[in-house]
Amino acid sequence: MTRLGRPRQGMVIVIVLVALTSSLIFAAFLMDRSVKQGYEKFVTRERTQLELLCHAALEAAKLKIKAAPTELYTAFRFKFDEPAATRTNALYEAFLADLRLEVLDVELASESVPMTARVTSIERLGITKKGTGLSTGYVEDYLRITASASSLIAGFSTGKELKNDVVMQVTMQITKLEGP
Amino acid sequence: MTTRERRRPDPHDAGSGTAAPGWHSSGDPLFPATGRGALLRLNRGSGSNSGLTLVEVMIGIFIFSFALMPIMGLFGRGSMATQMTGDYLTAMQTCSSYLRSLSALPAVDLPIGNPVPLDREFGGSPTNRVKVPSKSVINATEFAHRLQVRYVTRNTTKKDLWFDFMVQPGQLASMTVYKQFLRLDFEVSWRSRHDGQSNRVRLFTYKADLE
Repeated sequence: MTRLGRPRQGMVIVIVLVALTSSLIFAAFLMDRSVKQGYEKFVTRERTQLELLCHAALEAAKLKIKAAPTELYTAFRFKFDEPAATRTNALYEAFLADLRLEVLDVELASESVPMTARVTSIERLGITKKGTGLSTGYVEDYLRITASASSLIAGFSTGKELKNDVVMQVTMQITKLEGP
Repeated sequence: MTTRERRRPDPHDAGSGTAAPGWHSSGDPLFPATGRGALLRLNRGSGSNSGLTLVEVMIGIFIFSFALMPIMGLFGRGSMATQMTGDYLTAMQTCSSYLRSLSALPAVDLPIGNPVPLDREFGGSPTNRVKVPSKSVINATEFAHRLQVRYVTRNTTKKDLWFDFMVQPGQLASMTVYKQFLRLDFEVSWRSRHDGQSNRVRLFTYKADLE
């Protein structure tokens, strides 16, 4: 071997190692991107599904309120306005108890991905507007409905669990006749 | 003086006898007089082996190409994955879009069926109609649509749906509120243009209607 042959051989080895290392690093980066892309795709699908369920829960709550506003306002009265001795959350909780999609549809629980969607709260907003122009005694009231949906997939990708939560709110106006 | 330390001689020094070896010692330095001079100029020194031979360059290119092959393959895979993700997102968007449009219709306008015949308009109002095709072509990928609409109840022994109320503390009452509580399943299926594999996305929502 010549005097200059050894450094040249070393240089070739270094070039090969650098090329292979950079190749591996780049391949790992692309693989990681690919895995994350699949993960994001799945998460996006889950979130879209949960948004649809939240939307359905909100619509169900609006229909229940329109069908039975007296029960809701009775629940509000017992929750906030009654004297402390008779104040109770039982009516309010009973009103929300079956605004859960897994209760409304018994088949939801048998889906491949366990998910829940429910109305978590109905609030009175303090912007009640007296006098609607309809006739004496009618008032406009505003209610804020909050729904949440979640799904949990155990053992998704390298043993981690995939949990998604979606919360949606809607404000509805209700016109009611108040007693004297 | 070593080979690397040699510098190009000053042309004005021509004939002075001080020019570096390998260069014409008398005349234009750009045109060496001898073949040996030309060889030395290319090799940057007399008898030097510090440069790379053609064989070494070819081996280097081969090794580098060998290292680049998986990277190029991954580029191709990345491009394919992007296309597949695009198809998936398109299918998901299609599902969500049609489900939202259909759930905005009155429940009486939603036909019960598994599957519901498509390629027609749904909705009784001329201002609120939704046309659902049985297939669509987006970005050169053909997507097939399938819609299922059915009743769901909280109790399989009863058809109607009811809600619970508590009229007074401790006094529970139930009331049938909905005649129809529907579940809409929308499925989009397509065949990948890259590997021919069939894929599908299914989303669902609910539609309640007050009787």
